[in-house]
Amino acid sequence: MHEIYKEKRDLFRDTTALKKTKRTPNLSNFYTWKILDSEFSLKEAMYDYDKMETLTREFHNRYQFDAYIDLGVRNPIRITDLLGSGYHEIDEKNETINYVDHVVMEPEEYPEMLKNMKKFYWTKIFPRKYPNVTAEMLKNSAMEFAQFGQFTQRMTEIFVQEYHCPAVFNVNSVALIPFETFHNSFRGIKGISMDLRRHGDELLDVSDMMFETITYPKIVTAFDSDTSSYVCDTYTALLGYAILSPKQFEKYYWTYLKKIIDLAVEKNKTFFIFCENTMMRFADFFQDIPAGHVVLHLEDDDIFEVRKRLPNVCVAGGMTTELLGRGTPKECVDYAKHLIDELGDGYIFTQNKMMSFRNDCKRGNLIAVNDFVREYTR
Amino acid sequence: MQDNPITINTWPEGWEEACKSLDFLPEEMREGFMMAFLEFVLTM
Repeated sequence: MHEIYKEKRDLFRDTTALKKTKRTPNLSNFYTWKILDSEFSLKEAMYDYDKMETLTREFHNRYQFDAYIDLGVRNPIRITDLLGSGYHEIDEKNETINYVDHVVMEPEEYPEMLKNMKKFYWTKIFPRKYPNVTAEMLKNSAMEFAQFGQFTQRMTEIFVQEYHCPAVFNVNSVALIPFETFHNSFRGIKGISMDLRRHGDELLDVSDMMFETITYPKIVTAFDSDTSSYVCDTYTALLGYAILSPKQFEKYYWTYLKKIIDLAVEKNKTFFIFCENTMMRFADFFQDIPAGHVVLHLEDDDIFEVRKRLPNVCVAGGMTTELLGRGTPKECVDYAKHLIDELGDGYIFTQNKMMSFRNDCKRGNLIAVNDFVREYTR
Repeated sequence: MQDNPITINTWPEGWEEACKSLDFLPEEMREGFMMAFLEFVLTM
């Protein structure tokens, strides 16, 4: 392992453990903005892995983050295009990628899914989501999926070997919380909201099954293997919880999160949780977990308030799109200094959004901020 | 909800055929790969 790589990896690991570090680690939460910052259009980049590699390399050369949550591998629409339809719409004029909320599962179908998930996916969900798929289309898309896996691996290797940036997490150790699947992919926001009232127990039965047979065994395997070269040992992103009350959160999220956290504590591992929207009303659940095992990456929450309420977790985020997109370099640097000074040990510097839109950031602001964070010591 | 009656989505015949069609992979890897692929495209 290269010395620079080890230094960056330890910087993240020590920060997660709430230890004092030489400087604050700087993590990229940039996604589509990388493309908008490049010479390529959205379509050019998203349909050509070589172009995506070029612009991701240029992004690193320009901004020099310590690590990157995304290495140009989000929204692999080449795979779904080959199935004849996708739910991502690329709008070059407005420079956006829109995801269409859709419903592919009926509320009465939870018991059927519980009985045989593989059969249910194959005979119900797949043909509804991708109608008219032929055997040839399926094979071509599966081959593209394999190619995408190779691209993902290639990007990780480039960043590890050439740029000495630790990979944030192993893609095989992502901890999917089952509710996310129904909220984001199968039932739509309106559908899942109604299911909570009318089919709550059935939803919970399927969620238990998915967690026990898919998520938890995956995490056990990940924690039993050597994940020490990554920034964290397991990762998840939470979005569906935004529509839940604390009582519902306890039922559909916390039971599972707690089990993963308990295992992480037992095995001395770490768990990085990207909290989309706001997690503040669920903060109490996290207050008793042992220090040094969990990172909460915050989006719309007041990061200073979370730090106060949860001194036992590492917090990430804070740098706002409002400043990066509309402020001056000096305003951005001043706020970066304020974040680092106030949040102290156990803080990973990063953006408070998945950076996607043109106005989320200006190049000069990002260069100024990253130059400052790289050199600044408290 | 109207289901599309295409033939590849039968069980277990269509599933087994689909796994068999992944001849670019060693036989023992095909079913696991197909499931990973399915989970991926269904949650995209």
